[in-house]
Amino acid sequence: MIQVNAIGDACPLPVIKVKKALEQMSSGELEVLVDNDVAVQNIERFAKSRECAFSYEKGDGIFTIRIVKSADDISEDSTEQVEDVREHTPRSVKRVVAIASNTMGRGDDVLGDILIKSFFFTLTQLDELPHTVLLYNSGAKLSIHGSPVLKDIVALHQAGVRIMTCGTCLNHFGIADQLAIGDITNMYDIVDELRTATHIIRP
Amino acid sequence: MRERAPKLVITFRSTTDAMMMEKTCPAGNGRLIPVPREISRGCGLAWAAEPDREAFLLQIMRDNEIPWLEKKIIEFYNF
Repeated sequence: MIQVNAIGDACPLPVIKVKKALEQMSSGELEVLVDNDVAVQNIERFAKSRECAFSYEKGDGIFTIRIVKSADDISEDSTEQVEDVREHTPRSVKRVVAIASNTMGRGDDVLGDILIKSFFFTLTQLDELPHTVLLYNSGAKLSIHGSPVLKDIVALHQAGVRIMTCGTCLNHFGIADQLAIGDITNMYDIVDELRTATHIIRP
Repeated sequence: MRERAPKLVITFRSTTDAMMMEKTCPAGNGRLIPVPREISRGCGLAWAAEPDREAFLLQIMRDNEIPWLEKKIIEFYNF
């Protein structure tokens, strides 16, 4: 059995490694180690397109994939398939900032107020801004009129950052009519933003 | 397009002094920020303002006995 270690490899490298390994095999079993679900899905798609049997097990953060090649299935021109896999791989970075409180940290709310102001100021100074800022629970208080960080949130919004404030939270605090910037959102959108993020920042 | 502009940055020995500055300084004359990386000294919080406010800010700090540590012009994305 041939083994391919693709742990830590960024897509589409795991697929390329699998492709090369299968090309060297006339038949038999290939074991591939990867550490992320996207790589598993991409390799599955590739293996099945080559009419190979595919299965995997997950254990302790490592996926062990088994591919069984029954004949010389790999065509000479398989570059197209790898390119196709690339198209399905999320290549761009999506940073989402999740703000769950109107102060930063626990222990002293006066200090927490200063820290959250410092946090938002520093966000505005990043060369690469986040894709989205999510505001929920008392974090929803930060995008309303009179917020101590409103100026920074407006600057982020004007620079193209999506500002999404939890509508349930605004209603809970009775401040839904005071939203100053961005969109009111729901849990479906919040979960979707977190699910599709490549990086989640939580102060 | 985000543009950078020079700002006056004043640092303090303690967060108490920095917070006193925020409490004392009239609105529209700057804000608290984390001490920029370009400055190694300071308590962690600094005051940032338009450079032309320097004389006014120094007077405010003198009048209210707020000791400051260092002042420097640093470029920021506009805020």
